[in-house]
Amino acid sequence: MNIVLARVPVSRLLRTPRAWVMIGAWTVLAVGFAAAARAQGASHGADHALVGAFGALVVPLLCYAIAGGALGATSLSAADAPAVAFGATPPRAAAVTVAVVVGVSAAACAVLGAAVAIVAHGSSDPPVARDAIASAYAGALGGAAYGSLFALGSTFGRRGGGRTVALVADWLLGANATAVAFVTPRAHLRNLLGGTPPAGLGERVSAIALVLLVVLFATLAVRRAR
Amino acid sequence: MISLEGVASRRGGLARASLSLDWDAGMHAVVGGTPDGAPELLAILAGLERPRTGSVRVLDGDPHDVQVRRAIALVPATPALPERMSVRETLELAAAIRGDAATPPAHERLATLGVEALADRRVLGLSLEEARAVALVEALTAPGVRVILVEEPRVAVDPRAAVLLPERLRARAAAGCAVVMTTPSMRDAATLGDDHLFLTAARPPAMARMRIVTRDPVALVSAIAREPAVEGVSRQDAPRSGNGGATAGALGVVVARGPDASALADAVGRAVVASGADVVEMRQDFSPGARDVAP
Repeated sequence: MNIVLARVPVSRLLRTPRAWVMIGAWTVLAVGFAAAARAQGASHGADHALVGAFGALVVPLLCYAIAGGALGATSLSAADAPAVAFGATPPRAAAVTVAVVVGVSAAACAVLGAAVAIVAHGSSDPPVARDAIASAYAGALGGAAYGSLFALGSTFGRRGGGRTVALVADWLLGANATAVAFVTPRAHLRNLLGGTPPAGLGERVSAIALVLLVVLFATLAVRRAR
Repeated sequence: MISLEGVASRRGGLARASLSLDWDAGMHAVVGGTPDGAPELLAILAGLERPRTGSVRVLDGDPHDVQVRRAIALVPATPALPERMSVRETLELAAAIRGDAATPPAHERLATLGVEALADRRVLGLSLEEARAVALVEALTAPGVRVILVEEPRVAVDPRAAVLLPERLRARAAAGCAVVMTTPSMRDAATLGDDHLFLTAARPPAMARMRIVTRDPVALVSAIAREPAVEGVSRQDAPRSGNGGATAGALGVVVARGPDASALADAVGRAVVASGADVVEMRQDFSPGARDVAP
């Protein structure tokens, strides 16, 4: 049944040209920054590309495009309305849609994170294979957190305008290393990619925090979609 | 199959209602539009909204239960269809969600309303009328559906489908489905429904009128006004004879009206007996221009 319900957001994501244009654009930007870092011969090229363009810019905007593609220009409830009209329960339809957004965001960011680490790899970076795996792991966690955040944001407003508010709030609150940044995916993703940690937390704490944020945001999104 | 007890909605025209009804299989017309709470009533029956007060039973269960929900098809004024899928994929998706293994092929289902040409069209490119036709096809041809809820069945429906729709709905009702239709049109309700529910704001001002020619109009008006089944009673000038002169000085016309023709006739009969009025003629009346006298 869950696979059947997933057909709606997946078809929307696969068949919306605008979503693919945006996803392609952010992917090209991330790889472009990585290639530029390598071309400049930076010894910590991967670190710079991952913490800078990838973590701060590409991951949130890529996940934003994925959420927009899977949900359409509408709210989570409206996106699930077709499945609900055919007899699915609203919580189940919402849970499947959120899972699609979170899963696709995590996978896309993992692949892109690994690609950026490989392309931008510098002489002083960790071994390329280990760096690619670590970047994929961080990208997956960050992508999942952003996917769930935008799914929750989509439950606000008739056309899901809350996800734009969520994007801006994450941008503003997660920019610094204070305790406020603890509730944002941005701060924890930056920590995992080797940037400034929020409130001096370790990488393991940030990883756990991202998992908790995924669970929290996804649960709230499903509850609000009832 | 459908039972409501003291139901009021959280918003809209049914917010102050206390709706109770008991419907079995058949064609049930709800007379009322959006301001009267018709969409809220359908949403409550479909399990998409919870009532503010009262209880709702559909197919001997809660309409929020998964099994019950799969047996309910709602066709609202603007149906929600997966916009990036084709019509064929949409019908296959609906069958998969409803768990209908024995659903006929999409082309065959669409032929039910004569819209098989839509099979390979994208939902995104459908007009509202075509989208409504697809939603109606889904409701009419899903084997597991036992309750069909249709908002305004005569409005915004593809012309090919509109011709066949009443017959197809009746066929489903005859096969044991409860078909509930909302419409603000009395005419549509009369032609489509076997029974009728009037939402408060949509109640017609007069369902039946009786015209009584009597020699004691004052006494008869007083007696009729005391009858609870009568919503209004009025008195008109005495009719004139064919040669232009007054027929008789004491003759007058009394018009009574009420929501139920039978109850109105009984009430007028009791009032005639009680008042002892001399009645010359008594019949149903549809002429306008009566002057109301408050009961």
